Amino acid sequence: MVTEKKDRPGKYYFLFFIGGLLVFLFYVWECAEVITLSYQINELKEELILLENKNCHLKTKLYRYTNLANIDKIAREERGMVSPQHENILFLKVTFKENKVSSNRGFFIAREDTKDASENAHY
Amino acid sequence: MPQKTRIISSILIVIFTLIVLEIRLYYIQIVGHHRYKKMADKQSISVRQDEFKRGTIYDRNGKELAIELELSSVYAMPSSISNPEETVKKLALLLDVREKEIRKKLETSNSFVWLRRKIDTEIAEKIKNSHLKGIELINEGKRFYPENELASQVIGLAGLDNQGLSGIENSFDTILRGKIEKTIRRKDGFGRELIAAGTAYPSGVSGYGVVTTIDSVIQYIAEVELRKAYNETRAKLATIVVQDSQTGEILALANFPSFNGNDLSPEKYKYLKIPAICNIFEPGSTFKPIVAAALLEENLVTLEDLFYCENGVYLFNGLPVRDHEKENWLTFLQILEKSSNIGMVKAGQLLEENKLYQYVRDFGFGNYTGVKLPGETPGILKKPKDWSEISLSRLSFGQGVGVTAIQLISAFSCLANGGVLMEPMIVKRIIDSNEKVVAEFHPCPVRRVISYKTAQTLTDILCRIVKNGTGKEARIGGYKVAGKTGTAQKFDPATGKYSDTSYIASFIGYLPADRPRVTILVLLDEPQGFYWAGSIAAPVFARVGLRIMHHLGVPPEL
Repeated sequence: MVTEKKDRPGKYYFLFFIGGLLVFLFYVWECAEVITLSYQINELKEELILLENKNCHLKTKLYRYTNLANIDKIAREERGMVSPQHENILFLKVTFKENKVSSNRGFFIAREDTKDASENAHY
Repeated sequence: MPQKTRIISSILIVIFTLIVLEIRLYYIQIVGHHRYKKMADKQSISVRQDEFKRGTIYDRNGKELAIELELSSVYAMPSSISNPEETVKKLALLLDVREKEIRKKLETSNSFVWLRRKIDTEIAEKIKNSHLKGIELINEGKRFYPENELASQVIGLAGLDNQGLSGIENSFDTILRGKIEKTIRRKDGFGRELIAAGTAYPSGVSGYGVVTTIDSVIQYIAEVELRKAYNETRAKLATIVVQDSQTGEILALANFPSFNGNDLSPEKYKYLKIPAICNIFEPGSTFKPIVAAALLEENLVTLEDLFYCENGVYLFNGLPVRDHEKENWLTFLQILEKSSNIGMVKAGQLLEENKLYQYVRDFGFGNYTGVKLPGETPGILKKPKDWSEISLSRLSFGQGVGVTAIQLISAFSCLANGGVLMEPMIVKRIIDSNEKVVAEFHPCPVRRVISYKTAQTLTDILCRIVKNGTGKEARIGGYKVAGKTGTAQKFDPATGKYSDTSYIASFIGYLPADRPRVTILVLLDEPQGFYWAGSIAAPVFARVGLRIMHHLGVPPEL
């Protein structure tokens, strides 16, 4: 006896329903995830604000120590340093080709690039 | 009641109820859609305006002079606060303000209210940890000046809302300001921010950096010496300007009293304007080289021409002109060396009024110099048609003309560089946040005023003034200095006469005279006690000049 395989439309409806449900659940999960992540981002943002503030506080401190007036004060009052007198300063005449000349005494290097006034008088 | 009737009645009641609900839903969702959407948006959506980092101001060597720091500001969303009384108490304690003040702020109908802006890090952390509902923190930029008082008037000040109030902060405000962007934020029922699809986030474009021509070391030297001179002379106001003689770049511009940009006291607002470009004064003898330049350029005098100096008092059109030393016959060179007013009046008569006016204008007086700083005044220079009979004679020794320090130093730099008037420069370049150059400013020659030969002659005269004349105290060992003293009586508007007690003592010069690098102006307004410029302003010039030569590494020539 030959039996004909019957079409079962209910099966397709069921699969369609499951597929739709999965898409819906994915959508819900995605929305929930976006919201959770946005909360995390906000938390991190607040932390960043505080870290930036701390950084700024440290920067302020650093500048307080490194500003010219403070260095001058420390040099004079704490280290007992004095400004060099004119006779203490030795000038070395070097050209740019010889600018590798080094000195361990911290001499001032005289630059040779000062133009003569006449060179600029072509207006 | 028969069963059938009960069933029909029940069905009708259900249908009726459903119809009522449908009508209500239709009313809410279709008819009242806009109203309810508006109400929902009001609760959940907020528009936030973000202003991005203000640009940094640098000195010519890249040292930061004004930077932006991120500080927290605390604000409230009154409608989101669940326990107002407890919130008020906690905030009052944390922010150290009265409960009454906070309560008043929270009682507003606004959805947003500032509680305190730019607070300390520790306070911000405590507020964050207290988890107060409806109380939020936001980062805002605060201007910080790492060098405190250094060049404060030139750099200027930025206000609480990051707007430039004075100095470069004001004149370059549009360049320094970061991009302002408005973004729409959505919040949930607990006031937490939600990131929805399509949320536009700000680009975070910060303002451009401005590189000035100021050399912070030269500025520091000028300020230290200025303060010393101010205290010694007890002057009302003291100014030092240092300019590159060749390019017109301002290397230092110091005024005292000044202010510290980081100081919160309102006192600082008194000193926002820059006296070197805003205040006008009669230059007195420092103006004589300008008149001399006109006379020499027009070949109306030679250095050997003799003038009779009337033994110290000369009546010109009924008004006396006096010299501080009695002299008889002086050569034109000696007139300048000894700074004789009578000699200059007599020499000045050789010039036509229009000619002198034209030269004075060409040197940049009576006009804006073009320096990119706010509040510049053109000074006072009347046109020859408005001159009286004594105007030319008074102008010859620096009276009857109102100049600014920046005009005077630019005119002397013109003598120093061989006769070309340069526009004073305060900004070298504009850079972006990656230090890429966006715009560059180059030295700008305005016009040739006198010939190179006349400028050289003037330089020789000014060197003689420092060597043998009134400017001896400005001599600097090893360097040839060209300069001129000026002790000008101040005009007293109350009496309508020149005061015998109020003076402006100034010294202006450049060095090394043969190859000028810098022009320096020292100006002391109303010094108390001894007021002669040669004794109080010239030594300041010498000290500043020597330290600058060392800093620039200019070797001695002599």
